[in-house]
Amino acid sequence: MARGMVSYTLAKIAHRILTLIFVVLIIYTLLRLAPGTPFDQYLYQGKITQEQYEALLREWGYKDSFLVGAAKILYGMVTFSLFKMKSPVYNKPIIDLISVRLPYTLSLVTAAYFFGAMLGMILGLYCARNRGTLKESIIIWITLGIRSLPVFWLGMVLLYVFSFKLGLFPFLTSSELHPCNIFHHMIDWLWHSLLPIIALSKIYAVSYLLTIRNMVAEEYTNDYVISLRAIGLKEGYIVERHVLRNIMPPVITMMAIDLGFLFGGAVVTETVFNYPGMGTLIYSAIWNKDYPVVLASFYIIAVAVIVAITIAEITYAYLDPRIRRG
Amino acid sequence: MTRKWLSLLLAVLFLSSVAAVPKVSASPGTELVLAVGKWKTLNPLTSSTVYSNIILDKVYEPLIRWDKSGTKVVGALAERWEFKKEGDNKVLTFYLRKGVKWHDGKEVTAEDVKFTIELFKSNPSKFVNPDTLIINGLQEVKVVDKYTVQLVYNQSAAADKFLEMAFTTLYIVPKHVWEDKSVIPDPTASLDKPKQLIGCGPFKVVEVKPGEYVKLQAFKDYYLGKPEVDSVIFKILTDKNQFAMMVANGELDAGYFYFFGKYLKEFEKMVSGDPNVKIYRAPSKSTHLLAFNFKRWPYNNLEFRKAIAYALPVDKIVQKYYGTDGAKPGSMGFLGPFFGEYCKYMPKEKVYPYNPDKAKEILDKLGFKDVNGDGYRETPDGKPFKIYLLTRAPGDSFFRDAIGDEIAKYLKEVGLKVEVDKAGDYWDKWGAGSWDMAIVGYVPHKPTDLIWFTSNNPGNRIGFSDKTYDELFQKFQTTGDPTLAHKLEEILANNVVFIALYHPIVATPYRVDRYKDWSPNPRFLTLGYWSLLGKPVKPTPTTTTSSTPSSTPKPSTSSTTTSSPKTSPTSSGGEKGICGPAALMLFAVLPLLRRRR
Repeated sequence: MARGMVSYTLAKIAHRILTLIFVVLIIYTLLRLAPGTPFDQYLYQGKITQEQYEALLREWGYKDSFLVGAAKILYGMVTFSLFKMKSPVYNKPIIDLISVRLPYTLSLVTAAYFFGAMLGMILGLYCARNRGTLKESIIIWITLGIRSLPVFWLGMVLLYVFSFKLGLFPFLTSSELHPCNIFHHMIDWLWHSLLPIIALSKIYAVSYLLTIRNMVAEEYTNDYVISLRAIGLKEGYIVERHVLRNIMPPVITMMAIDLGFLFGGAVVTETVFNYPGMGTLIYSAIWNKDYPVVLASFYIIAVAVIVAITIAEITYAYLDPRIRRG
Repeated sequence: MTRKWLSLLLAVLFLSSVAAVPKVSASPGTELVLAVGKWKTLNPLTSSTVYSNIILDKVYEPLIRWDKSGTKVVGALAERWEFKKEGDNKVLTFYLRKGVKWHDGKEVTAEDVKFTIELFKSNPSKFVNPDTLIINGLQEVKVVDKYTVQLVYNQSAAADKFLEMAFTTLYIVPKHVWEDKSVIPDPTASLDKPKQLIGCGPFKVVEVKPGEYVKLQAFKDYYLGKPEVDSVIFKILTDKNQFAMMVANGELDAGYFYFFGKYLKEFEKMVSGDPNVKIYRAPSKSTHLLAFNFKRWPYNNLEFRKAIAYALPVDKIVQKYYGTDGAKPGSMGFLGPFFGEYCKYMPKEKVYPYNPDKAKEILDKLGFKDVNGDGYRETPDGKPFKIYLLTRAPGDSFFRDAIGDEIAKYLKEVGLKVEVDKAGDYWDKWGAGSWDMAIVGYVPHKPTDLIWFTSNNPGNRIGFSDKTYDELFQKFQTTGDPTLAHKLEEILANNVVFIALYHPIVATPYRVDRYKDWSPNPRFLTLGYWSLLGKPVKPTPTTTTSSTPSSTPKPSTSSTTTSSPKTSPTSSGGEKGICGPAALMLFAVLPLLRRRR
């Protein structure tokens, strides 16, 4: 079994590396097709001459051919120097820009993810166990209603109600406090970030609620559940020890993919709440035509998603040996 | 047993969060909280947004700056200066103030000025913040003595007063810091550490959190005396609505955001009755035009452009969205009344008054006729004709889309079909010339920005080219004669290079409960250099509240109520806020503790 797992894992990793290279080349191609450069505004405002503009384009590689540019990107990936490339807008290494933003994004999106996923699972299980009742219908109606609300609108309503009208939370997520211990830091962070966490978690809560509810409801129709009830096992035990285990593989896949996308942040939420994370960096980079930063950011997201899917597949294979055998 | 340990853990968490004193970063005294938009680089030489310049303006000093009214130049680092002719050359000598200190205690000397100017000259394509007029024709920079620096210009240099205006954009940087590679390895990069941002302005940088805020503290050795405002925080905001709410509820004192049209009326309703919120209104420098693409037919035909001018009731269109007090009619000569003696004010309705019959007559004469009876005119050789109109880029006012629709409506009445493009790739199409007409906003900063219509200027995307205009502009730039500016503007108006739409009247709110001396002016609104050098309002004693869940101050609903000034809304909110959420956490888990199996 161990040898089977090792060869399976190695094969998956090799496959994923090829996938990553392919994804990066696609992103690079799309960026090459997009018009504009960061220096256009200086030219249009007459701050630089046409010759200076051409020199800047040559310096920053905007005049490189497709193959030369692609070769530079692949070289950067292989030698792990992709993030040492500089941003033409900030004139700083990309790693300096991303390293400041990434912790913010991870803290926000992880908190929203776990809060939303937990809430979604708990409510999903509750709805599955009470399917057909009025309580379940009310929860589903509310869920579908919340699902259709755009995140940016929900964010602005939360700010209006809780920050402006009630004054319970600050508008901005930045804090000038310098906490002297970890608890203070956590609570101060929570106070500043609770509204964007609530706004963002609705995405995860809604999707996990509906998924878990549908899958558990489907499992309940199986004969083994009836048998276990007939034996006299409690409902909670049946759900925890049998039903959940059977629905875990697809749920793990879903969680893994969502975890991977955490690195990309949430552009809309971060913009509404002025949260200085990866989402706003990517948004600004696209807006400013800062293509090295866009490429590096999407590279991180691609790596995170691919790693997460690979771990999910390996875990899946470990849990269910039938997968390994193909 | 488990519940006991859980309760103990929660109690420890709660007590430690409440009992430990937070190291609050707010200084004692008055701290103003201001808002600016996102900047790209916080570097005095490469800064390319007004938001970064607003911050840098408080940290660095130029040689010359605008006065409080924003209309005249006065000495800043330079105590005085003089222009002299030496043969064919012009020599500009700056006499620096003595005893001016950098934030690290060293003295500002002529070597710093020479270093800054030569650094700018070495790479003007990267150092885009200072005006290039400073180095146009510059032959040499000489240090005469410790406090005197001379710049030698040749004949192509700009006129004296334009040079003076140009020097307001050059922040002098410390040579000893900028030459130190361990502090600033790359002078073209964004700077985000206080030790890199050493200036000699009234405030010094104490903290930079990229993407969040910049904190400045009053510099005690400032040559005009330590500012009475102790510290300033510039927070980054991207949304005007949030800005409005934060000013209304006291979380912000002011910001570089402004409103116009119906947004202003909504904000006024939000703060009505609050005597602590004032609104500053001023005509903007910016001008919005309907530009023609001279590289395409028939937009390079003067008669066709005149027909468009006669077909549009510009004042009526603009008033629909800006009201009668939200915008000033634009001038067909480009420069608006903001530019004083340099502006020959020619509103479009005075030069080409709305006359759709005349427009139709001109179009008929040019051969544009509706051959197939569909209500739209075809080209003289019978082909379908459509005008492709760009309206706005993301971030611009949505009013421009609406104004584009109105333009299409009025042009339809004279038989011209218009396709209004509201897609987001405005700048790409503008730069590539893939448009016929475009609503475009310009922000001229000085009269010599008429350069944007000279033939070889890279900013001339319209494609207008006139030899007389080019020659006249060169003369204007070197002499500074306002009558030459008027002649340039007449050329633009007579050639209908564009149709002037409006100069927006902008309005920005600010609070006066903690600070009154904002000295707003049309150039920098409420956040100019002079805005933070006044006296704060003396705080009246207030009782502190207990640690209840935090609350930021609510807007006053009574006209007689005055809110007592606080030292720092953010820090006091933070102190209250830590206890509040901690208490909330405890209350939230109490049911868990009490749950019985």
